[in-house]
Amino acid sequence: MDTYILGIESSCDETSMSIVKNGIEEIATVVLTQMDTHSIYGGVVPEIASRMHIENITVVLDELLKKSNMKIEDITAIAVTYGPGLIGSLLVGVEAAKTLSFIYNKPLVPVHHIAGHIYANSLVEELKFPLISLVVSGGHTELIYMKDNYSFEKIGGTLDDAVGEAYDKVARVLDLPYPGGPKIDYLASIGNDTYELPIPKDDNSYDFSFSGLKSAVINLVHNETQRGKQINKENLATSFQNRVVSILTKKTIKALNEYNVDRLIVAGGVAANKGLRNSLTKACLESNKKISFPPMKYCTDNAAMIASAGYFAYKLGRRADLDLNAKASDKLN
Amino acid sequence: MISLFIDTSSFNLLVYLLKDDKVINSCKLEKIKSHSTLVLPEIKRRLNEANIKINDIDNIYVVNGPGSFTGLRIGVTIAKIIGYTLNKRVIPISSLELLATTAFNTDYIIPVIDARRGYVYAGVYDKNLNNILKDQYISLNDLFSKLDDDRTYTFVSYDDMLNIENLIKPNEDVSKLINKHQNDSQINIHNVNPNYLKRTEAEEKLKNDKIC
Repeated sequence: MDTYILGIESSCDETSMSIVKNGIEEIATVVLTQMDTHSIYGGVVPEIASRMHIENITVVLDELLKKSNMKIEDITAIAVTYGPGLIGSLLVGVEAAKTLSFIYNKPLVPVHHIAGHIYANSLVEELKFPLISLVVSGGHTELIYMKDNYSFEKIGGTLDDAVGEAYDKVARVLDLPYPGGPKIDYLASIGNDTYELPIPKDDNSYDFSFSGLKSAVINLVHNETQRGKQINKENLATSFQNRVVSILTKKTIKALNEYNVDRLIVAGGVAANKGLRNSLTKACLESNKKISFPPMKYCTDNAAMIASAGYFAYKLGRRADLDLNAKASDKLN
Repeated sequence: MISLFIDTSSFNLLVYLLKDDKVINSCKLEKIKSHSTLVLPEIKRRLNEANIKINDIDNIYVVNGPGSFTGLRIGVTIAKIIGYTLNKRVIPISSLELLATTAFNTDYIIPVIDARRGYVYAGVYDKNLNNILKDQYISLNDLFSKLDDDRTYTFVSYDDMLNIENLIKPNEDVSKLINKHQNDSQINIHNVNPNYLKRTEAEEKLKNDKIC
C-alpha cells in the first residue's frame, strides 16, 4: 500500500506544506516565502516571521489540498519540522501538525530540519548507503556519515559561524542586499582571485571555522576604505568564495577517502552555490566518487524534504505525541 | 450548540466545553511553563471526559489577544486548523474582555495586562461587556489620565501592579462571554489572527527611522 506523508515546515521564513508518496514522489508542494518582507530589515526578524506564519498557515494548507487534489483523510501520517530553528516560527507548524494529527487520528512524525535537507536528495533518486553528507546553510556546516537510513554520525562541523552566515555578513559589508549568498556567488563568477585572504582552519580535522575569514574580509574592506581605495567587489567575492569552497572541498574529499565512502550528497541552502557545486563535482570526478545535489527548488527550505525524511522516520516507527514541543536547537539523531 | 473555548494568552491555560452557555467541562491550569506541550492534550482530555467528538463542536471561541505573542499563536493556530479543516465557526475573543467578565461593583471595570516598561494593555468595560475605552497598548499614566473622576473603577489583572489601587484578581465567566458573542458574524478563517495591539520592535524602529 502506498504511504502518503503530509510534511509541514516553518522553521525560518518559509511556510511550506507538501504531500510526498512513499518518500520519493512529490505529489504537490506549496511554499510561501517571506523573503521580500525580511529583506527590508537586512535579515530574518523572528517575531515578524512568526506573525506571518500564522497568517499563512491555513492559506498554505488550502492551496496544498487544491493543488494535490487530495483530502487529509487520504494521508498516512503527518510529518513536521520540530527543530532546529526559530522557536516562534517552529511552533506554528508544530501546533498545526499536532492539531491535524488529533482531528484525523493520524500518526505524528517529528523531523529534524537537517534530516529534511539530506533527504531532499531522495526526491530525485534513492539514497544508497553508506554515504557522507555535507550540509551547508545559513545555520549549519556539517559533515555527516550515514551508514544506513536515519543513522547520523556527525564527523565535523563549524566551530563558529555557519557558512551561509559568513556569506550574509560579508555581503552586508559589501553593501549587497539580503540574502547575500547568491549575489556573492554571482560576483565571484565574474571576478578574479586577487585579494590575499587566509584559508580558514586548514588542518587535519573535519571541523570548520569561518569567523576568522569573515573578519579578515571585513577588516580588509575597512582598511581599504580608510585609505580611500576602491574595493573591487567582484574580485573580493571571488577571493572570499575560493577560500570557502577550497576548504569545504578539501575536508569533504578527505572524509570520503578516510571513511572509505563512495557517495557524497550535498544539502542545505548553500548547496545552491555554483562555485561550491563546481568545485565538489570536479573533485569527486577526480577521486572517482559519486556526488548528488538536490535540485535548486529543494535546496531552500521546503516541506517536500520534510515529508520525504518523515516517510523514512515513519517506516522506522518514530512517533511524537500531542505534547510535542518545538526546539530551537537539537542534535540530529 | 456545542462550543470549545481556548485561552492561551497568559501564563494560565483555559479550556472550556460548553453546551449553549452552560459549562460542561473545563480546566484552568495556572502558571504553566509551556503551552505547546499542554493545550492539545487538555483539549483531548476535555472532549474525552465529556464524551464529545471534535466533529460535534459547532463553534470555537479563541482568545486572540492582547497577551503573550507566542501563547496567542499556539491557541489561534489550533483554532484556525480546526476551523478550516472541519469548517467550524471560529470567534476571536479579546483577552481583556475575558478578564472583564470578573464580577465587580463599581461603574466600570478595567482589565490590565502588564506590557512592561510602564506600559499595559488595557480597556474599559461596563457590566454588559461593552468596550467603553477600546483595548489598547498604553502607558499607565496615560490610562489614568483618560479616566473620569466622577466614575468608579475596578482594575482586574493577573499581574501584580503595585501602583494600581482597587486591583482584583480575575475570576472569568466564560458563559457570559459566550452569551454575548454567540451571534457574532462569521469571519473568513484565514483572517482569524492574533490581535497583538503592538507592532514588532523591528517595525517600530523602521517607522521611526523613516520619520527621522
